[in-house]
Amino acid sequence: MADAATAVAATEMTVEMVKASQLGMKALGAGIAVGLTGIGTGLAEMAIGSAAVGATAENKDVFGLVLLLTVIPETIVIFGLVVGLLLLF
Amino acid sequence: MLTPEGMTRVLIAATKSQMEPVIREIYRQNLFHIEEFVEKDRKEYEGYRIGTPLPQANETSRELLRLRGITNAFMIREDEEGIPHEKQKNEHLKGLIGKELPALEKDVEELLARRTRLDTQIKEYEQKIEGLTPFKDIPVDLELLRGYRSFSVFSGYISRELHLDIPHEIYTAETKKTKLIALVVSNSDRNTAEQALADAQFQAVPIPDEEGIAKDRIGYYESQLLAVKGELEEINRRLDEIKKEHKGLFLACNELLTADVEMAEAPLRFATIGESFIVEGWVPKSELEKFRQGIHYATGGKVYVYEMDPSEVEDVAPTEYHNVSFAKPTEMLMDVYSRPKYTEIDPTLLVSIIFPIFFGIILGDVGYGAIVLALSLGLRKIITGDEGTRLLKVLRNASISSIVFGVLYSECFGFALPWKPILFSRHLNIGGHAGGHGPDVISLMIMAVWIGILQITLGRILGMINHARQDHGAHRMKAVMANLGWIMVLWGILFMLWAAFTMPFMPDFTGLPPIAVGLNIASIIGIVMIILGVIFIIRDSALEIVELPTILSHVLSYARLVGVGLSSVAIAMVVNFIAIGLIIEPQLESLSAVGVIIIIVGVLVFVIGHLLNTILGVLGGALQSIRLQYVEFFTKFYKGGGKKYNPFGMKKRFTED
Amino acid sequence: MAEVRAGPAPYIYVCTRMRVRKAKLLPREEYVRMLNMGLSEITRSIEETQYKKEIDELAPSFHGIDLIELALSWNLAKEYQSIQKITPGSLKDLTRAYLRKWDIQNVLTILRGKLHGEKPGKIREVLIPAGELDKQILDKLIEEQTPERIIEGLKGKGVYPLLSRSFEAGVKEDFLPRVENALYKQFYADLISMAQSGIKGGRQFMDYITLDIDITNIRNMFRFRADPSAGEMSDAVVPGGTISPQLIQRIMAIKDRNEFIDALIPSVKVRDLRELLETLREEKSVREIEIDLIKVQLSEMESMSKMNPFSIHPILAYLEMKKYEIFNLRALARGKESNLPPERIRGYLVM
Repeated sequence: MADAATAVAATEMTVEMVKASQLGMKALGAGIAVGLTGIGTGLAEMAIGSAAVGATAENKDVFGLVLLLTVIPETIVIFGLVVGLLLLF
Repeated sequence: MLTPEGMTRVLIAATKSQMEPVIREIYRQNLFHIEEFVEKDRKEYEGYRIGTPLPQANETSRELLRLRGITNAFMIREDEEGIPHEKQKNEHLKGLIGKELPALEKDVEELLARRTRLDTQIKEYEQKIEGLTPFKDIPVDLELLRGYRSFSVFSGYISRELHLDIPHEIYTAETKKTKLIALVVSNSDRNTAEQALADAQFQAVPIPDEEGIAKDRIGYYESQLLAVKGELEEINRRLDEIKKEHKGLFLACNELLTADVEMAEAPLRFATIGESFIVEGWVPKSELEKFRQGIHYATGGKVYVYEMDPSEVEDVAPTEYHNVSFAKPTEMLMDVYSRPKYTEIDPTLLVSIIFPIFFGIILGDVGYGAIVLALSLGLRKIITGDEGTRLLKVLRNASISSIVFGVLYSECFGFALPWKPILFSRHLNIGGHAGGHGPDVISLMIMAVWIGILQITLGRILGMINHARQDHGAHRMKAVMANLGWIMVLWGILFMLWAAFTMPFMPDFTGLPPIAVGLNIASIIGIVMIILGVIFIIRDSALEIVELPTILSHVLSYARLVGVGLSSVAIAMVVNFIAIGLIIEPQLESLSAVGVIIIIVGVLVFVIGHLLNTILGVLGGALQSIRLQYVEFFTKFYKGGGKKYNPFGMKKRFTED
Repeated sequence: MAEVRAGPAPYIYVCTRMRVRKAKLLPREEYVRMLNMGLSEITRSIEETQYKKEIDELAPSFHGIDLIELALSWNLAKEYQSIQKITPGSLKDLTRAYLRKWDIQNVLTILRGKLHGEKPGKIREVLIPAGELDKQILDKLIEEQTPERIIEGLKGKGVYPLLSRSFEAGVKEDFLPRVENALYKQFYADLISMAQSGIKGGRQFMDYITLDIDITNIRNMFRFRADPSAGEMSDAVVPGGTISPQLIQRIMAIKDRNEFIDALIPSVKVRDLRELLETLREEKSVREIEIDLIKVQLSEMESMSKMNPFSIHPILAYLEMKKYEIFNLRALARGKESNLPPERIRGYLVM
C-alpha cells in the first residue's frame, strides 16, 4: 500500500516536473531562436553597415537610404523573434 | 492624386539676338525645366553646337569669386541672425557692386592679408621661444656657444651622469625631469667627448641663432608676441565690424551675381547653329499659357514657342509631385527611395496613410506617442529647413497614430490603462503584477499577416496599372497578366490553407465536403489559381519562378509589426518592474533617509529607461514601417528613377527686381 | 593589429567611400561646357563643386591662373592625404607605395630648384604634397642647403631607401637627368617586390603594376619613335610588365609602323589595349596616343575595380581618375589663359 502511494506521488511529481521542464525547453528554444538569428543579422549587417557609413561620410544626403538598407537583414532576427514569441505564448 | 503634375514639352527657337531677353524671362518665371542639350546626342540636332555664355559671364564670375572668398573668410551663413529681412532692389545693388563693393573688398582683402602675415609672425616668434626655452637657465650669452674654430660645442639633454676627464667648460640647467647641458671642448678632444656623451644618452638640441642670454631673448620675443597679438586682435575687431555692418550687402550681392552668372551661362545648355538657337524643356501644363504669354510679351513676339507632341517624349519628363497637402510631407520619404517616373503611379498618398498606421501598430503607447508628438511640435522652432520640417510633420502624424493605437492597446509607458485592450492585448507577464492572459500573440500575428496580404495584393494591382500605362505592344498584356498571376498564386495558397486548417480571424473552409481525392472545393479553387498564376508569371518571364518563395517570406515579413512592437512593450515593462517593483516600492514600505535617495535613483532609472526605449521605439517603428513600404510594397509595382522638376530660376531671398 | 582582426568591414568602408568620390568627379559634359567658358567662369564653376573650400580660401589672396592652379594642387594634395589616412592595414602600405611617385617627384623638384638657385617660395608653389611627405616635411626640406642634407632629412620615410641608394650611385656628377630614369625603374622594382612579398592584397596590386608598366613602356616607345633625339629607349624601359625589355629592344629597331605593331600586339594581354594598338596603325600625334593610352588605362582600372570591389583597385582607380581630373582642369585653365581656341584645348583633355 505504502509503496503504491509513494509510486503515485512520484508519478504526480514527474508530471509536474515534465511540465516545468517543457516550459524550460520552450524558453530555451525561444532563446536559441532569437540568439542565432541575431548573430545572422549581425553578420549580414556588418558589411552593409560599413558600406553605409562609408557612403554617408562622403555624401550626407544618402543617410536615410543607407540607414534603411542597413536594417534590411533585420528580417532574419525578426523571424527568430516571431518564432520565439509563438513558442512562449 | 497618385499621378505627378502634368508637364508639356516646349521648344523655344529664336535668333541669337533674342537670347538674352528669353533667358531673362524664363529665369524670372522660374517655370521652365531646361532639357540640357548634349552634343552628338540626337540625330535631328546634327550640326548643332552648345552655345557660348553671354559676354558678361567671365567678368561676373570673377567678381563672384572675390565675393565668395570674402563671404567665406567672414563665415557668413544665410540663416545667421541680424541679416536684414527686407529685400534689396536689383538696380540699387548694381550701383553698389559698381562702386562701393570693390572698395570694401579691397579693404577686407588687405586686412585678411595682414592677418595672414601676423599669423606667420606669431608662429615664427613661438618657434623661436620654443627653441630658446631649453636654454633659459643657462647663464651665458648664446653667441659664446657657437662660431669657434678650435672648440666644439655640444648642447642637449642627458639622462645619465656625464663623466669627462678632459679639459672642458660646462653649463647645466636642471629641472625635475630633465638635465640640459652646454659643453665646450677643444676640437682635439671631440671624439672622447662624443663617446662620453653617448654613454650619458645625450640628445642634441640645436643652439638658437641668437645673441644674449636666453632668458632675456625669451622675454623680448614674448613682448613682441604680445604686440603682434594685440595688432591681430585689432584687425579681427575691424573685420567683425565690417561683417556686422555689411553682411546683408554681401549676401544680397552674392545672390544677385549668382543669378546673373546662371543667366549668363544658360546658353551652355542650349543648342545653337549659325545665328539661331533652340532650347527644349518642360513647363507644367497648368502654367503653360502664362509662360507662353510672358515670353511673347518679353520679346515682342519674335520668338517661336512650340508645344511638342507629348506621346513621343513623355517618358523623359521631369516629375513634380502633385499631392493633397496632407500627403506633402511624405514626399520626403519618397525622395529617399527614388522619385517616381513621370508616367508612374505616385504612391505618396498611400504611404502617407499606411506609414503612420504601421508606426502606430508597432509603437502603440499613449505615453511614448505623447512624447514624440511633443518633440515633433517643439522641434519646429529649432529645425527650420525644408527637409526637417517635413520630417517633423511625418513624425507628428505617426505619433498621433501611436496615441490612437495606445488607447486601443490600453498602454501607457508599458502600464495598462484603466480599460481592457480594445484591439488585442500586448500586455506581457513581467514582474510582480504577472497574471492575466498574457499577450494575444496568435491574434496579433494573424492581424499582421492580413495586413501583409492586403498590402501586397494592392501593390500587385498597382503593378498591373503601371504596366498597362507604361508598356507597349505584346509585352504590355503579358506584364499585366504576370502581376495578376502573382495575386492568384498568393490567394490560391490562402485558399488551400483555409481548406486544410482552422485559424482565428480567417475564413474556415475545412467543413466543406470533399469533392475529389479528398480535396474540397476550396482546395481545388486554390490549386487552379496557383497553376494559372504560375503560367501567367512564366509567360512574362520564366526566371521569375525563383522569386515564388518571396510570396511567403514577404507576407510573413509583416510579422515585424508585432515582433518589434512586443519587444518595445517588453522593455517598457522591464523598466517599470526594475524601477518601481524592485527599487521604489520596497523603500515606500518603510521610508528612511537612505530610502529617499534610493527612490530618486529609481525615478532616474525609470526616466532614463523610458527615454532610451522611446528612442529605440521611434527608430525601430519608423525604420521597420518604412522598410515594409520600400521592400515589401514598392517592389511589386514601383520603379522610381524620375528626374526632379528643377525649373531654371531662383527663389530669391535677399533681392528683388 | 586591430585592422587585421576587423575582417572585411574596413575594406568595404574605404572602397565605398572611393566609389562615392568617384561618382562625384566631373562628368564629360561638364568639360565640354567649360571649353566654352572663360578662365574665371571655369574657376567659379568648379568652386561650386568639390573645390569650394580651396578656392574660397585662396580667392582673397590670388587671382586668375594662380588661383585655380594653386587650388587644384591643394585639392589634390588634400584628397590624397585624406585617402592615406583612411585606408586600413595593408591597403595603407600599398597606397603609400603607389603614391611614392609623388614623393620622388617632389624631392626631385626641390633638388632641381636648388640646383638652379630658385627661391624657396618659388619651389613651394610647384610642389604637390600628395604622397607620404606632407607640406610640413617638404617645407623643412626646402630650407635645407645641400642635396646631402635634403636626402638626410628624408630618413625614416618610405622614399628614403630608394633615394639614398640612387643618390649614392649617381650623385656626384650630373645627378638629376641620369638618375631620374633609374629612380623610376627602382620605384617599380620596389613596388613589384612589395607586391610579391606576400602582403595581403599583393596579387591585385601586382595586376595594377603590370598594367602601369606596360602602358608606360608603350607610351615611351611611341614617344621615342616619334622623336629619336629624346633619348635612349634602353634607359627608359621599365622591366616587370608583360612586354619583356628584350622584346622592346628588338621591336624598337623595326622602322615600319605596321610591322612594329604586329610584333608588339601578341605580348599585350589587355584586350582594350590590343584594340587601341590596332587603331594606332594610322598616323597619330604623340599627344593623341598618350591620351588614348590614359583612357585605356583608366577604363581597365575601372573594370579591375569592378572585379575586385573591395581591394586596392577601387582606391587606385579613384586616385588615378582624380589625378586626371586635375590634369584636365589645369590644361583647361592654361589653355584659356593663353587664349587657345576650344578645339585645341579639347585635344589635351582626357574625357
